[in-house]
Amino acid sequence: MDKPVQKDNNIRGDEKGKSSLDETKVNWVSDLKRSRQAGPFHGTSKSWTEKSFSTIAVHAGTKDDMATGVVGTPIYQGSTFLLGEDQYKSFEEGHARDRFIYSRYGNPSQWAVQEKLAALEGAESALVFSSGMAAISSTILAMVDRGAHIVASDELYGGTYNFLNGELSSLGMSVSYASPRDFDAIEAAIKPETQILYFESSTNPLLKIVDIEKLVSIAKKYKLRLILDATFTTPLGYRALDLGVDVVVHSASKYLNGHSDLIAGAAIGSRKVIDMIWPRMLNFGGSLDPHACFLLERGLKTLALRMAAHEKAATALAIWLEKHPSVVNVFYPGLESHPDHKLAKSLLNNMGGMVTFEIKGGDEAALKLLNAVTLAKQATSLGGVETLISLPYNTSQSGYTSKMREKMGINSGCVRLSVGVEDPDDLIRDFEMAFSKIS
Amino acid sequence: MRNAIPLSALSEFANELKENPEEGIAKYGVEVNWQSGTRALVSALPMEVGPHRVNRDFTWVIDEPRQLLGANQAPNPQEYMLSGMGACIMVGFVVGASIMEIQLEHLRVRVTGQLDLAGFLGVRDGAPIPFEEINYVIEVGGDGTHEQFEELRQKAVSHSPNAMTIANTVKINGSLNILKD
Repeated sequence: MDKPVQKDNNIRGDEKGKSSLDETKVNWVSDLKRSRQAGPFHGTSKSWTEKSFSTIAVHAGTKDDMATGVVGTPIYQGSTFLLGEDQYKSFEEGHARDRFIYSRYGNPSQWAVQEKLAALEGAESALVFSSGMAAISSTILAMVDRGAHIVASDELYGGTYNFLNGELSSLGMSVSYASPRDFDAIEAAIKPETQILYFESSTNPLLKIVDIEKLVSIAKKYKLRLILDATFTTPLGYRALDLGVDVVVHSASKYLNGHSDLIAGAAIGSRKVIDMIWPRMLNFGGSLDPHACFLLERGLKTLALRMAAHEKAATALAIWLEKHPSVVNVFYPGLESHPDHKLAKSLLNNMGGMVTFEIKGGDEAALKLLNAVTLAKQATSLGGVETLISLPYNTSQSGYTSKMREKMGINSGCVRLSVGVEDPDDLIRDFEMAFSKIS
Repeated sequence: MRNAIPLSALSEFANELKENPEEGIAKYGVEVNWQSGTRALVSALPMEVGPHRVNRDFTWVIDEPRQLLGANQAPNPQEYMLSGMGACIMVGFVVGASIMEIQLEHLRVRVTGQLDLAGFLGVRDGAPIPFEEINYVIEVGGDGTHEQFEELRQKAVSHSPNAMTIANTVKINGSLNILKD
């Protein structure tokens, strides 16, 4: 005799993500049951609204394995998942994001770190990506339609600029650039077909702090979406979604991970908006590998500790640099001399670890300084535990001519520092030694 | 996804509107630019769905047949109106089928109507200007029963904004903007 077929109705995924249909008769759309929920989260999703950043960073999203009792999220290094009736139904009805089906769609290792990121930003939902640019490109393309126009900062990160400048025109879209400090110019750039404002919370390398509340009011006035790259400020600087930003994107390779040992990105916002981005992640393929998720989740646990250490070391170094006779200018939002110091003080809970300074003798002297320091490593990128030193003229801003750089305020001799979490006295002594060597 | 309709997202949207009616306000517009004779080029204006702008980079041509003084280069205004109603009924039918868990294999909506052009031309007293009747036939194949398809037909039409705009007179507000020179 044939065995009766055992139906597997187990929910593998977020149990709050339910079917729209139940046993009662549905007459029209108004009878459908499913409402939008925060998530998708795996297991014990708590409310983190009352908790502080350091507690959220350690605990949110992290899921102990109850089968073994191991503390911390295991690495779910699998590409695919056992399928049952419930998952087939999720496909049919269109809530596959709430179930584990295939790791490009979602994986417990991704969900754990996504919940942590969402909790840190005070958001309903988050997605992790295989790079910051995967997050940025998927997010932008989720929010535009054919013929769309975007207004973006004229001091963007080079990778984002290359995407906007090099890719969007072939998709029949256009971009206007405006200074993040010139709100009249931003408004003047808006056209009937504009759909997005795209800005960065702090510019690179001069660390101009954008007045986010003014940008939010412009976006609302013209019914646009506002996307903010908050890589430099992190959720510890300020929570942009609380102030009315639609989506926050990050290069998670920087402060969020903090150890210069992976490439990842994130998009964080309301469930509604992140659900719009998710299909783009599937189509463009920028999903994050489970092992990288584990590293990112581990890195995030110390975000609050690290940011406090970055700020402490950067402040000490910035103050010291400002007094040094070989230094012409120091840009650090925590310094009173910074043009946006007042705004930074009212907006930011943490001034971050980025310090930019200009030395006497121009780029030639700056190159000598780079070779003379022994602790800071000569490398691009930022946000890691080790101090990194680079020159905008031959790295991030090398695509511009020297005149264009000067117009942007990036003068010859400009040095960018990503201050790590080393002892500030050691860093200062190292710079003291390096300056004396080159003078 | 059944009938390529994301039922979960539809349900979320419907329940969102119960809490936040503003999200359900959709604003539309088109611009009809005269080209020559009876021919016009139409552009869709940006839409608004709730508090956000949606770009609509679409244009299409409208013309009349030669018998009606055109060059027969494109469908005429009546055909666009009938297609707008037919496509709107079709959307309701597919959505309704998805809710009722019916898999559609085939769907065609045929819409026909008749005008007495004497009304437009004003050549005979009492000749009607509008369509006096519009007829449609829905041709459907799928795993629903006859009763289910009949229920769907009625719901699709009674929930169709375009069909209901035509069936119930709509107020048309207009004004004139005369360009100098």
